[in-house]
Amino acid sequence: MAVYEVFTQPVSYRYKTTLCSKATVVFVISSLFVIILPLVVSYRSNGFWLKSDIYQEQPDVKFTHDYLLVLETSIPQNPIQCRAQFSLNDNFQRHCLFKSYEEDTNRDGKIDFITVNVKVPLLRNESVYSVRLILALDFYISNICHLRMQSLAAVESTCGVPGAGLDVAADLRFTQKKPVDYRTAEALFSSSLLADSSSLKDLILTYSQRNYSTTLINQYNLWASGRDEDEPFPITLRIAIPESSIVYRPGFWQVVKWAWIQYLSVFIVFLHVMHILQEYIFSNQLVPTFRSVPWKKIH
Amino acid sequence: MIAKAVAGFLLLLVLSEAASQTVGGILSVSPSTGSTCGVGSSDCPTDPALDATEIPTEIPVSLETSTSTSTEPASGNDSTTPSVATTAQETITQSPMVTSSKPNKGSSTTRSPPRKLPTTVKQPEGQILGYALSETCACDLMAFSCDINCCCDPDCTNFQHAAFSKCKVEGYPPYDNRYCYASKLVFLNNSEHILEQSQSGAFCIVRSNLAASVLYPSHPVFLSLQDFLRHWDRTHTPVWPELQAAPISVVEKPKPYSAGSPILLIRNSQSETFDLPASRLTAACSVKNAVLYLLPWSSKCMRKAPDGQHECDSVSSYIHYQLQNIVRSPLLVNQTELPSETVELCPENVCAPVTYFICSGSKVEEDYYTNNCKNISSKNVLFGLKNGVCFGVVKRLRLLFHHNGTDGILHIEAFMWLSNISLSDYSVTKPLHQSFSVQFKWARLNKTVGTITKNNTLNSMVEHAPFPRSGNPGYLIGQPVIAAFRVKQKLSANSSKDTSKDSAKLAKHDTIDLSHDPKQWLTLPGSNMNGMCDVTLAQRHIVTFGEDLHMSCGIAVSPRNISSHFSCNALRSRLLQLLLGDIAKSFHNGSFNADWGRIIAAFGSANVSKPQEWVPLLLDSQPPFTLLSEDSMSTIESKISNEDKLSDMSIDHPLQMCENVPLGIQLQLMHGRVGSPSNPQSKIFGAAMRFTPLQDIGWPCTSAACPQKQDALYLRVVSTVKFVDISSPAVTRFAEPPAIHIRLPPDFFYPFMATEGSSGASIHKTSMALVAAFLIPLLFI
Repeated sequence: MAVYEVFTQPVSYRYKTTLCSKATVVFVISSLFVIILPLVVSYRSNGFWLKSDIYQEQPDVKFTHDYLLVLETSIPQNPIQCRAQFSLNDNFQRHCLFKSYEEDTNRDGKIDFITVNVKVPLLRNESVYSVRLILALDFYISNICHLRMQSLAAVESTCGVPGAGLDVAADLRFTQKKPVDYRTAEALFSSSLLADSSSLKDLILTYSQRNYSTTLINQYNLWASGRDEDEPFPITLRIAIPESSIVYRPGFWQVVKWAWIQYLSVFIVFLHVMHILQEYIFSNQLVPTFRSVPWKKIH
Repeated sequence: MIAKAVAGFLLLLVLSEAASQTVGGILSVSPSTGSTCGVGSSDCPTDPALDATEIPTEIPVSLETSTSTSTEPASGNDSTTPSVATTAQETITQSPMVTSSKPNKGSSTTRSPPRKLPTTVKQPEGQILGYALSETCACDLMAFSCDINCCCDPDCTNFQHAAFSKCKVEGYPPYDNRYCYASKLVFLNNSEHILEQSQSGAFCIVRSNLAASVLYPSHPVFLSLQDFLRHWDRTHTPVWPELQAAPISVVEKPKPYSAGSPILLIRNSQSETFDLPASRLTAACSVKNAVLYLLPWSSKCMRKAPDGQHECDSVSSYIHYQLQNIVRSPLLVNQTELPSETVELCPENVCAPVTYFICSGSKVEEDYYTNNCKNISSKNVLFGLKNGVCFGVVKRLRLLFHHNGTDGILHIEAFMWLSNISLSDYSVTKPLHQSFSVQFKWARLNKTVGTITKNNTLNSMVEHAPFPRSGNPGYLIGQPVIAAFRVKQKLSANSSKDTSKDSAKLAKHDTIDLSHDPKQWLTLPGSNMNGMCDVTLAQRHIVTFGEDLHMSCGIAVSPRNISSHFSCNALRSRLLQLLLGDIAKSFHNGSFNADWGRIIAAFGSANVSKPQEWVPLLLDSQPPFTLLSEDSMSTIESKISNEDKLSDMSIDHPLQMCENVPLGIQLQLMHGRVGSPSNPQSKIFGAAMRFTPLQDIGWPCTSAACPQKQDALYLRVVSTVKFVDISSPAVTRFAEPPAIHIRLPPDFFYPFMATEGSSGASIHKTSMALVAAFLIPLLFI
């Protein structure tokens, strides 16, 4: 009749020793070894503490309806300026027709495209060589870290010949000089940029030194030439707002979780190796211990 | 002498018990090399890898001076391949310990590079190393001529070598950095040496058993076209687009016009397509675009200003000629005798009659605004060049084809914006901008061509003009916001003739007075090119759906305008008229309450028969000033003129300030999406209009004589439109989950249940205990 294994049961030996013995020393040293060495290994191999992480989010961008438009004409001392905010005494600016339209194509509540149409009335003898259009945007990311700020989308384009119109298509991208803090950074740079700035130079300088800002990338400019003197100068700007990569500084629990995973994975290997080593040491009685066999009663 | 220099120059020490008995070596270069070309000196082209070691004097290479003593250069060439592991090689390289190179032992053969007998050279070692030590010499670019400084050029003689300053040896012999040892030809003093360089990586190939593994596989030559094409198809690479064959106009049986077929005209007794200039890549009129039947089309392009007879004709009289000869229907072309070439005009029965309208004023973008046009006979308009002036240059052309489907074109209305250009003063750099638009309109079946052509007044045209919807049913982005007046029934007799007939049938108390002219809807004051507010209706900007707007214009206020209460009132009225346009008339009867009868269509279809689809345009705040009625306006005008005379007298108490002047208007609209998410429709839920905070305008002036000194005050009138989307995300609803009613049969627990006849309670309790006794142990299994 065939015999088969029905049930298995491991037998555990117990090795016993006194407090002051060689075996205690071996046990303490090997335990310390198992605990500390994985820490050293996982730390020295870099990336133990997760200092920055990256995620993708489509920012919630809204046009604040504040803009600044400067056209350089053939007469350098007479640039054409338009802006939404002005004081009653401003005499420098023209009367631009400014249209904007925010488009949410996938209807997820976040704006995907901002389209801007400007028509600048020009005198008959004026010809435009350069366009600088700055829009103030309300920028908000909320998924992992919260950051709300006023940012700019600046277009600058020059043309060698007198232009008759400019079409620009670009993407808005979040740029950062340092990672966004996990929890703070709410309501940073919330002041109105265009209203505060006195000169364009100041505006560009202060804005470019900010830690978090937005820029236009993937920009295509299309100038038309040959102006119709009866027509105003048209500018079309279409900004796409895709998902941005946001580098952030993770919170405490995320850091600890990643460290723990790394430590544990190394620790298990060391524990296994040390177990084999201890088994060799104690089973061969390299250090003297009392070995209690389960089926023998120690008297 | 040279030999001494080289001897002093090179000192080859051999590492005796180094790992390889063949290649270990230190090349030491004495610093006093002079101008001789040697390894490590800047005069010679050295391996960049050697330079990278930054040990110019000691280079861990084994240097074999192939020199030399061997009169046969082939053997020297053999020694270029180190092939450490092969025994055959060892025999050659067993004596690498050349203590000193004596390359210039006098004989000219010492300087002979291996080029001489490339065919006789056997290179078994080269193949072992993985590459065939090819006979190619990369610097030998001029065939049958000695290339300068190309030492491996077989065309060079020794005499020519003497003129060389250095050797270009890059790529010769071919170098593969995966191998442990690579040989390099170095010419010392124009005598060749082999520089062997060890590879610095952890692993390297000493010997390759399969030399072909690192070579490109050879491909057979295609000899048959089938073979070639089969492989060509397999490549799947993008190829240059092929020229599309131009459609050859096939003479076929004439078919009646249908949507998309080109409109024909007759020119020189030949029928050809009616085309208009258009732009393609740039704004220039670069192509001719055929006008297709029943498909609305527009183009705008720029061309050179006319500077001669031909150019002038092409922009003026040729277009006129084209219009004259448009064929009513292609079926008519063959049926009737075409006029001979001498006859200019197309017969009436073949060609469609054209009614010309000469339009004045600026080129308004909107096509439906044709109030400035008047009918004129084409004979009265001069086309073409005359006395150096090009007359009748078409700056803008709008064609309205009245058609009747397959019956063809009944008649054409041509709205032309013309200008006369003098050839002399119009410089070449100034371009001529032309714009064309083509529209089609169903002709009324009961109306004949004759009655329409007689109908010259444009007002009748407007009445029958197609009424453009702004979307059906929901608004489309960029289309005008439709506004109308809610007219009380008693006033319906006074309503304008633009009232649609549907509203007249309305059985409600109120009717909706909807103008068909979008300029009568929501408009805002625009600025002309000089920046001043334009009061004409044509320049007003129509509020379009979904587009936020910020626009401004300027007005000049003279000191006289704010000199008295009357003039201030007049100024306020003038600004109100400017801000609101024609709607301002509704204020003039004194009532300035929120119920002013202005309503906005909630949907773009603007159905006047459904009053529930209209929302009122709410007035946010009532301006804190009284307005004057229309008749009092005229009295004001006269009073102002009177006051001008009186101003000198009333100088004692001049007003220097007008209070509560409206300098802007804000239009706020809330819209949202209704309907299913797959096809949402935009609807306007509410609209409000408010005046921007009223300003007190005036001069900071203390002295009484101040206003006379001041120039006109320049004010800015700002109008803004803001659309807010208040639609919440679409709600997905689910049906209630079906309730599951699981019932056991009534007699399922029959023995435990109390039956009607028995004395129930005790049995019931015991039965429950029994059930529990059965079921509870089951839970623990």
